[in-house]
Amino acid sequence: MENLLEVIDLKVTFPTSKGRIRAIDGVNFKVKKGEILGIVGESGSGKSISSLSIMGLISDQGQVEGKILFNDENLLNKTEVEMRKIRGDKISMIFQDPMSSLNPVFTIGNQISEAILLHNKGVTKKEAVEKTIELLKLVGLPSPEQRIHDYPHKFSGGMRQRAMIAMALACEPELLVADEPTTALDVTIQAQILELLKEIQMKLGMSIILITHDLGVVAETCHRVAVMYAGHVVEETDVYTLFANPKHPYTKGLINSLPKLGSRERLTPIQGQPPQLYDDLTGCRFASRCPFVSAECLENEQVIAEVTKGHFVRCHKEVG
Amino acid sequence: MFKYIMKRLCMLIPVLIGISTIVFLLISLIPGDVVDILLGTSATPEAREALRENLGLNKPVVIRYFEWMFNAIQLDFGESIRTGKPVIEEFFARLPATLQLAGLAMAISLLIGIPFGILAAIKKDSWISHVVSVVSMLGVSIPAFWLGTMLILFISLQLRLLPPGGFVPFLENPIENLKGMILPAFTLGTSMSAVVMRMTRSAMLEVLGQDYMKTALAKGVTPKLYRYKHAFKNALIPVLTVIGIQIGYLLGGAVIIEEVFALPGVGRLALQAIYQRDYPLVQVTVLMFSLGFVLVNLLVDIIYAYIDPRIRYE
Repeated sequence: MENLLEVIDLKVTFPTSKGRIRAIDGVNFKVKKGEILGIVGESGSGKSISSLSIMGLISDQGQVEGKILFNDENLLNKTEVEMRKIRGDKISMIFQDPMSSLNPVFTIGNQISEAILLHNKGVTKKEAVEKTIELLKLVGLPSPEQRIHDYPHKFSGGMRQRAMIAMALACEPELLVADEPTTALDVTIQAQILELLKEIQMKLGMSIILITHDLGVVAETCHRVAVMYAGHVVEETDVYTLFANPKHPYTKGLINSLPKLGSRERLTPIQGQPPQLYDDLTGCRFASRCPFVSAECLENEQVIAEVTKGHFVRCHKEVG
Repeated sequence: MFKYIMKRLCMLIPVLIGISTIVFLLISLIPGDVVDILLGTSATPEAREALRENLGLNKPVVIRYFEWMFNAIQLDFGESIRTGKPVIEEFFARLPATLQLAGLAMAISLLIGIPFGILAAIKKDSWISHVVSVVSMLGVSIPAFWLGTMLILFISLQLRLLPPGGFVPFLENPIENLKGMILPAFTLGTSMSAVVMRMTRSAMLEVLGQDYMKTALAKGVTPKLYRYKHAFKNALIPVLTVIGIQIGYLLGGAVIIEEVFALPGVGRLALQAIYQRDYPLVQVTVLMFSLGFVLVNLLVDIIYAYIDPRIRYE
């Protein structure tokens, strides 16, 4: 399979009063055509910043370096006007909280057909409305002919997320970035939305980046996974290997802190807090919390390396 | 919606009764009376008594109030004590000048306040934003009577660009009319524009931080759509509230501005009526002011429902 998106040595820094924050520090990952890539990590690990970099939506203060190749074109070299044409058309995004992600003063139909009209010159309003109804049918919204005239406040959370997905699909994107799309939803609705994403991915053959902090969601949905910690990708592999044979101590820790059905074992949480990402960091960023830490870990920054084919780990113990 | 409007209009009745009662009682508390003003202090007691009887002022306040009320219900608000003409006629003769003043002031305040408020929000940390903050602070702090006087001093008396006061009806001579209106409307409009500007800025800033604005960006909207369609329609709701309240201020401000610029409007009419203890005239002007204020706020509430679909009235 061909690579649709390739993120190479991506760095994003933000100036603060206490110095530069290195929110993302040399991140690499690939998304193949027709693949669902999961990005897992805790809050502040840089997963949302990665997705916003792909969309070109990092605020003006943020400095972005590296390369984001989309169909072999570097998105970071594009102008704002060129990016605007890609956003919502070739790459689209859905967000965490469907309750606040739809504009309260426009109808659902208006918001979805706007995306269609923005990117397809020559489409009439009527055609856009028809396409909107079609999209809402695709995402499983009942009686879309009537619902397009409704405002978001009349929709439940699950329905709003369906509408958000329909909006993201409006121009049949090649890549859908889903930033914690189920975090704000009930468990039953979560399952429905994940099912829907998988189904749509199969039907339309696009690629999805699914950002989440929930390993359960990853196991259910993704083909491949990148685990992020403190601005780094610490492990990247296919989903089966990740759960069967995790290599990085952080990934192991994450899996150990998952409850297992039927087991009465105590959960073992990862001790401590992630480091603050100022310039003066040395050594492995996980060292302070790592149960296998050695003197070497504190001195040298770790590099990511392939341990077996397609399995990348950022820990010298697993490589050397 | 129709039912709601009807309900609000019915609520007007107790409000107006309340206001008229308070005003009636307040007037009777003001020391000095119309007889002194009409006859002077040297009049004979007989002449004073005759005039009192003539005007019906010898009756107790309560009786007078009910008499007034009885007539008012039939839309007869009495005659001005000074001119003898029906007060309602006097009021409507003065209304055009005030309406024009208020309308122009409002237009000026919106034309200045909204665009600069939006600009200040979009260019949040730039010098434009700071200038807007300082100017709006000044605008709120400068008293209208001072600004009006200064404008008359410099623009009318020194530079002789515009007339210092007076009023020519619009239909008689539109150009002279507008010339006379520029200064008073500008004076009244500045402080209001400052308030509108601040509100627009903060409302826009809040909306720009909302999640749905990120959705709009992710959709690939143009900056124009982003600002004016997605953001401004949401920001308009709090701005509208402020505008509604400001209209009350506009009516109050009109009293001062009309006095400074010698405009024959209802504000000045009310002031003269109070000086001269012209009770029926005071009564009707205050009543009309409050009627105007309540109606404008009803209108604002109705516009709300059109802008914000979450607001529905039963």
